[in-house]
Amino acid sequence: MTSVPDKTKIIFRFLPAVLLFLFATIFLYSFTDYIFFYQEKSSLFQVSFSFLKQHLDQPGGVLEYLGQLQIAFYYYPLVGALIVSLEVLLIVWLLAKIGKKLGAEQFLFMPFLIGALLFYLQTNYQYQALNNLGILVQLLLFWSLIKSKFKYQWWIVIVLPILYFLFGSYCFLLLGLSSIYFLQQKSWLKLTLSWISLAVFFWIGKEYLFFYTTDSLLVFPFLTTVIGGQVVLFGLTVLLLLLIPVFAKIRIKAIERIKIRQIKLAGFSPYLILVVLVVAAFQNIDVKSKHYFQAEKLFYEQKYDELIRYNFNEPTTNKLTLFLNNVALAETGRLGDSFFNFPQSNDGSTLFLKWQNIGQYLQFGGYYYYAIGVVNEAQRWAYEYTVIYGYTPETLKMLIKTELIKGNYKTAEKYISILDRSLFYKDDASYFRKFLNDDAAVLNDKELGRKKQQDTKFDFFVKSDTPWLNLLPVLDADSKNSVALQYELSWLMLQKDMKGIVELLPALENAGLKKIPKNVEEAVVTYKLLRVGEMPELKKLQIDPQTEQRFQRYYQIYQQNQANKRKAQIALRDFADTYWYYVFFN
Amino acid sequence: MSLRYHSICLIGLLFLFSCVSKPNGEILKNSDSVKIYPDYTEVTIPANIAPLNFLVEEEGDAYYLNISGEKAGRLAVSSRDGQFRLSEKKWKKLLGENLGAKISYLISIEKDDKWIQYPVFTNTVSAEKVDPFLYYRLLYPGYESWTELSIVQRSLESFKEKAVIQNNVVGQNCVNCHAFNNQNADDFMFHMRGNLGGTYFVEDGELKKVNMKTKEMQNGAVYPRWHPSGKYVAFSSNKVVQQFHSMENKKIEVSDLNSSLVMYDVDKNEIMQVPVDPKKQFMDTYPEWSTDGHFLYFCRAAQIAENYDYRDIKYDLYRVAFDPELRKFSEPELVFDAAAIGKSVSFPRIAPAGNVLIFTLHDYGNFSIWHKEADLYSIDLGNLQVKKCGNNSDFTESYHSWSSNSKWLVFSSKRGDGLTARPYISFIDENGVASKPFVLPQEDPGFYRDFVKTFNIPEFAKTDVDLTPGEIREAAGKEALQAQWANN
Repeated sequence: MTSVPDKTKIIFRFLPAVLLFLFATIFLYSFTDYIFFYQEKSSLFQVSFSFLKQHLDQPGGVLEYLGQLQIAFYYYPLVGALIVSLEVLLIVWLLAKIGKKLGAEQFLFMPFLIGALLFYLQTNYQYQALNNLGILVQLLLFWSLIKSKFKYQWWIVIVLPILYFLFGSYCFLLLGLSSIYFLQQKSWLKLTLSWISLAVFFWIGKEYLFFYTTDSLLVFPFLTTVIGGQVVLFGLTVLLLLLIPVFAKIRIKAIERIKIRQIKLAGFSPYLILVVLVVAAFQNIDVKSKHYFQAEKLFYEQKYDELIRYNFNEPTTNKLTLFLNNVALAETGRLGDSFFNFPQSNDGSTLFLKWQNIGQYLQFGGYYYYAIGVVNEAQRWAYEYTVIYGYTPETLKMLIKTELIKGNYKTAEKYISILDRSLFYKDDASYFRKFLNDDAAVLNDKELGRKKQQDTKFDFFVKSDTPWLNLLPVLDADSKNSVALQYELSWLMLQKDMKGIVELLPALENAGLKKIPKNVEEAVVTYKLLRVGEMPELKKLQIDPQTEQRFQRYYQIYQQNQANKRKAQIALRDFADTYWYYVFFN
Repeated sequence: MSLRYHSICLIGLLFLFSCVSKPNGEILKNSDSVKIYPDYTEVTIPANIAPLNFLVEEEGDAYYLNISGEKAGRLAVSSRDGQFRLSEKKWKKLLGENLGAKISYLISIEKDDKWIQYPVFTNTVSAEKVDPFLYYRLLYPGYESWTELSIVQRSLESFKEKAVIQNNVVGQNCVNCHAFNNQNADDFMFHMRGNLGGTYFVEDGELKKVNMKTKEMQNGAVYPRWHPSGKYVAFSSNKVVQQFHSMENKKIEVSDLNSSLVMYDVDKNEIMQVPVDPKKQFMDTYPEWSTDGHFLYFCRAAQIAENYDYRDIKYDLYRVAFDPELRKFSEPELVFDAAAIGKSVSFPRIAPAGNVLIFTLHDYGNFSIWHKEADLYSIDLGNLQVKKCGNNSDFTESYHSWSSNSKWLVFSSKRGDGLTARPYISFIDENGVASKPFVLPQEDPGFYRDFVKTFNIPEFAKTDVDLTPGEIREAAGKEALQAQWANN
């Protein structure tokens, strides 16, 4: 039978911890799994000595390496949720232990508060694994320090330079904690020598060892970006962590006296924190990011139909999502049909990405070129991204695919070897490896073969600042390139260039299209019925009379309401997915 | 289970892995030569080179290598995976015992319990030593972007490598165009681009930062070459444009829009125009001094017009006489008319002995690293006879530099994978004939298969550059010394 004190212990110590763990896991897995998707797709951990070596040229590199290792496991979101929750739980447990060791009677409030804050910080998709990992390790070391016999606590003086090398700026947390602890213990010599030891190593490193700026040596791997810009909250959490030895000693008798049914208020505090955390965490779900990352996930998986359906059912105005959606429409031959089913930007920014040294632009801009058959340029975007931001699974796959298409098998093999050194992309590496030195296999592959055939046969200098200008030379080389044709037509629709669209109709016919795409047909009908100019002679393609009737109806409603644009817009909302609506209301 | 049991297992395992398999019993002979990577067969190597570690590209259960010297010595190595990593000490001894002679490699492979012996291949050990250091810039062969750039020093006598400069030390500025005077690290310079930009000179062991750009100059100073006296540095001053191909495997096209030559007087801190093109009719680039310092060689193409075709830009090799005392140049003269054969010249480099100039020849332009057809050619400076070097491949051969004894040439070649440049070393005999080159040896024989960075501007050096991060940071933080424009 469980005794009453044991029951109290279970209810007030273990149950909140279990609840925190369960809530954190379920919440992260069920509501914010996009965090794991984003982070996992943003780096590529490699199981190799050279990858480890890359992280040894700067203090804190090892923590960064460990963080990337943790992120690699986010490939499975449930594993990610379990790891993150376990880390938070361990931090809470360590803090409680530290408090107890330092003399606190029931030290639960601060550990749970800090745990809750760290969990809350983690609900930001940019908050990297290395943060909680770094904090956890420093607390573990601090716990070891205070558990050591007083005379053996000198180890910290010797170990601090090593810890600085391994964990970079995160070891300052340990330095701070141990300094306060030594102050409390009146161990002036240990305190002084700890600082001197670290300062001397820092100076030697700065002057002779590390080719990094002084600022970087001080703060790395901490960056505002790795905490998702949550500077105030993170700063507050670190401050609370630093003051743990102080909080452990504070006794506020007035609060300690408050009891509910003989149980001190402190015992209830974890529950209160948990309740607040649940509310705050749900409010912190980033719905826009969640939508975007789901679209990105479907895009990477080449589930284009699903992606289009998803964006149709859950409309978005995010330009990058719409750009991906347009690539999906183009790859499935529906760009000219469904272009205006989705919001479009008249500057073309939902259709193409202009060259900019911005991560997401470089990451995705190349897919437009991949779609229209300028494989060189698709590769360049992926390559430049890699040079600046490092390998990611998807950019590496793009590099492999483009090198295979180009027949550069030796270079492709290098990239495949890198993918093969990842933890969870070995199957992809094996898949790609079978194409090496086998042109026939590349040609027979559904995706690679199609892209190889589609790859432009005309050499021109790519204009990445004005991406639409690359379409005409591609079409000059291959007038049957239906993807490029759809992009050109879409661009002309955005430009409201009906003449240009009509002039492309013979090319459309030549490309083997049996029907004029819906939105394109709307532009053609407008041109025809408003008698803007001459219509070309077409052999097979015909204008659907129903489209003409729809235009007549549209035009009639428009004329009835043209005095009031707002009213007209409401009256014509059934036509919101048409070229006409775009022309009149954009 | 007991500790004893575990210990026995552990010792057994250690024994198993440390076991050296040697050919025994009946040995079959294979008449086809075995393929090794990197290809170190039939090459001439300097006596002080690091071990030529390699791997055998043939499936097998065990491998055995026996290297025997023509004069003396032997080195035997076993391997389970076909990788041969040779002992530096034993290698050095073997080469030392066989100066001017051959060493023979005999490889045996065990397959299905049978040993197969392959035909011998050899290396010739030259008594001519190579300079002990090789400097290069390591970078991703990217087109526009960079994050990590470093100028690296590699000992050619071992596998030791150290960073001399890394761009991160001053916050991702670009570092480029490192240059030595006569392979001597005492006269060393490099450019840094970015907010802490400038040209950095090592002067008496100290770093000096100079701003070369004056208001009289249209463009900044780019490709440098030291005058043998160490008093002057000639630069090209280029305006460059990058464009990207949609189809060709070349990917990038780099062209000069205009360029001219300038000269920096190190002692007087003065920069001046090299007055070879007063009417601005030409684009002059890639300066190179003759060994006696009395001639400045350079590449020259007609100044492009507005609607130019990049394929029509052809550089010829010119030279101009120079009086170092008076700082005076004469009239330029044509040395090699590359345009006449529809070609273009880049990177003229004269052997320290002064008798031979090697340049890169390609179809057009001057950015040869992206030209697959680029090859090395030599000119006998006595009779101006041009010959194609014997160390070329079907892929790019581009930047090259001489060792201080004029016996070794290091050059960038993309023959490995077509994308990344690697440093290859050739022996140049007394007739100027280049031997089959060998790639810079690495401790890990498979290194080049995985390494994705490119080796840029390989330069031999006799001495060590010893800059600390603190020194670079301090120099970068200082105000640059402004070079003064001089008319002569």
